[in-house]
Amino acid sequence: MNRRESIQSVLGLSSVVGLAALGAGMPGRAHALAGNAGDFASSYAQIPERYGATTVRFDRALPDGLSGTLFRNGPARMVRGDTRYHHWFDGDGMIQAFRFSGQSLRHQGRMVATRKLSAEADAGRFLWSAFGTSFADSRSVRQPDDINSANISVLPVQDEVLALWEGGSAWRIDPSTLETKGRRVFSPSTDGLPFSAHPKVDPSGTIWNFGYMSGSGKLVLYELTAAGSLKRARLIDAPNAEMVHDFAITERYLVFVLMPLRYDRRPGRGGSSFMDRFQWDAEGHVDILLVDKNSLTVAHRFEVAPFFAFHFGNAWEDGETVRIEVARAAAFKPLMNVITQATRGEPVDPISRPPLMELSLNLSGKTASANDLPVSGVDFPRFDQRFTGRKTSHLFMMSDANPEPDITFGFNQLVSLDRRSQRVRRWSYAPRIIAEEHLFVPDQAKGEANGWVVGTTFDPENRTTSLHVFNARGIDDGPIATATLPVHLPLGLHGQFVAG
Amino acid sequence: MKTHRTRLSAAAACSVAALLTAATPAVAADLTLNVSNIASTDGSMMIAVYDSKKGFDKKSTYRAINRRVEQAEMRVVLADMPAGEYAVMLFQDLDGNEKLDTNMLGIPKEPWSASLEGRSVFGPPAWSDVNFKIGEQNVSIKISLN
Repeated sequence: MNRRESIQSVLGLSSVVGLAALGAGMPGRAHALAGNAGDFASSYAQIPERYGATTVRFDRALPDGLSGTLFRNGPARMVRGDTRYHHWFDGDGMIQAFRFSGQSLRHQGRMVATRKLSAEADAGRFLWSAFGTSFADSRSVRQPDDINSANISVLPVQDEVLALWEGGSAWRIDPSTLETKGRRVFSPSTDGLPFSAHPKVDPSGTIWNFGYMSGSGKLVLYELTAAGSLKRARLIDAPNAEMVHDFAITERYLVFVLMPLRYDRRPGRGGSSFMDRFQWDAEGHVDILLVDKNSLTVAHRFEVAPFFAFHFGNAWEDGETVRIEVARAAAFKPLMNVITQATRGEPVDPISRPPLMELSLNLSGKTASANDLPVSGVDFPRFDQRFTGRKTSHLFMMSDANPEPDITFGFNQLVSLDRRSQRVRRWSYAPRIIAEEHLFVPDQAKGEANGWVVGTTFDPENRTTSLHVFNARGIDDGPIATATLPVHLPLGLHGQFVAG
Repeated sequence: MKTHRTRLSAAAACSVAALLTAATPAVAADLTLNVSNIASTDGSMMIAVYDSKKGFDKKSTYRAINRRVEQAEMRVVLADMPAGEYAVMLFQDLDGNEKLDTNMLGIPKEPWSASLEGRSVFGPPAWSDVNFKIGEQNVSIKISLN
C-alpha cells in the first residue's frame, strides 16, 4: 500500500516539530503524529522470553525455488525489573526464525541465553551498564564478554547458527529449537576475543571476520573454513580501531575503513555511558587498510577525509582499483542521540541524510577518491552474497520516505540501485510502518542479482509483524507475497537466509 | 594449607591460619574480602594484596593467599593490617596452572576481579582503579567474580 497523499501534504505544510512547539493549529493531527514518536519504542513492549512456533499463510504462493529460513537477530529485552535501557543497542539479543515454503510461514523466536542474560534473569534486574546506558550501581565491567548481549546478527555455519555481537564471543544457537548451546570458542588463544557481527563469506566458502577492542590499537583477523572451524587468527596493528562495526572483502584483500572515533578512558567520568565516552575527531581522517588475504599483513594504506558509516555494501577489484560501497550515516553523536530519543519514545531531532558513496582506491597511483551515488539517507545495504568481493550490479537498502525533518525513527522504504544504469527503484510502506533490513535471496538457478528481496515490517497500530517477498528486479511493483504474524516482534538488526 | 610459589606471590609462606591468629594491636584493622558469584568450585582462588602503587606496578605482593574454592561465596579475613593504601587482585585458577590464562589480546580466560568497587576497566586495572584506604576501622570489600 502506498503512502497516503493527504499525510504527505500535511507534513509538507510545516515542520511537525514546529507545530508541536508552537502548540498551534491542527492540534489533533499534530498530536497524533507526535504520538507516533513512541512507535519505535513500542516494539519492545511485552516481549516474551520465547515465541512458540506459529504458522501463518502468505497471501499468495511463493515462487518455486524460494524455500528456506530467514534467521534474524536484534535487541529484544529493554526492561528487567526496575531497570531499563535507554539505547536500542543495549537490549539482549533474540533470534527470530522465519521458515517459509509454498504458501506457509512458520515463525519462532528465542532469547540468546548469554552469561549476562542468565545472571540478570536470576537477579531480576540488569546488573551491568550497557553500551548506551549506565547504572550507578553497575557491577564492574572487566572485559567485553561481561556485557555481551549477542544482539546484532547471525552467521549460519554447518549445523548451527552463531548469534553475533561485536565486542566479544559469538554464541551457538540450535537452528531447529533456537536453544543456546553455549559460547563459541574457536581455540585457546582466541577464547573470549571479539568477533564482529559482519563476517563475509568468500565465493570459495571461506569465512572472513575481524574483531576490535577499544584501546588495544589492534584488530584481530579470523579465517574460518566453510564449516566454521578456525584456520588462522592474526593480530594486526590498526589506527582508529576504537569502534569498527563492519568491513569488506575483495578477491585479494580484507578492507578496513577506520574512522576517527576516540574512546575517552579517563577516570572520574562516572555517570556517562560507554557510548558517551566516544568522541568524534573532526580534525582526523579515515584510515583505510587493505590486508592481503594470503599473508594477513597490511598491503596498502589510504587516508581520506572523515565520514561516518556503520555499514558497507559490497567491494571488489576493478583492475588496479578497489571499489567499496559505503552507506554513509549521519554523524555519530547526533545519530546515537536520535537512537536514544527513539528508544525512550521521544520525538527525535533532525539528522542529516548523506548520500550513499563509492570509495575508489587506486593501488598503483596510491590515490583515493569518493563519489556520491544517486540515493541518500540509506542503510542496511545488502547484495547478492554469492558474489561477495566480486563486482555486483544491484544494491538493496532501506530508506525513510518521510520528508525531513522526521520526528519518528525508523525506515519505511525499500530501495534498489542498479549500479550499471544508476536506476533507482523504491517501494514505500504505509507511513507508520517501520521496516527492518530487507535482504537479497538468490534464485540459485539464475545469475547475479536474480532472485528475491525478503524483509520484515512492524505495524505499530495493529501490533503485528509481517514478512514480505519482492522480485529483486522489480521491487517497485511491491511485495509478491506477504504473511502477517498474529504478534509483533521487537525491531531487530541483521539476518541471514539459509536455503532448504 | 599447602604453601607453593605462584606467579603472584613474592614472599613466602603466610598460611591463612597465621593471618587469622596474630594479636591485634590497638591501631591495626581487619580487612575482610567478601567474594561472591563464584560460578564453579574448580581450582583455587589466588588472591594478591598490594600495599603500595610501587608494589602493585611491580606485582610484588604484600600478602598472597591461595584458598581452595568450595562454595559460591568466599570470605577471607586479613587481620592486623597497618593503616595505608592497598589493592586486591584475584582470580580463580580453574586449570591449576597457577597462572591467569589470557587470550591473544591479553583478555583473561579465567574468572578474575579486583577491589574495583564497581569501576569498569578496559584491560588490566591500574592502581588508581583499585586502591583503597585502611585506617583505624575494619574494612570490608565486596568483590563479584561474575
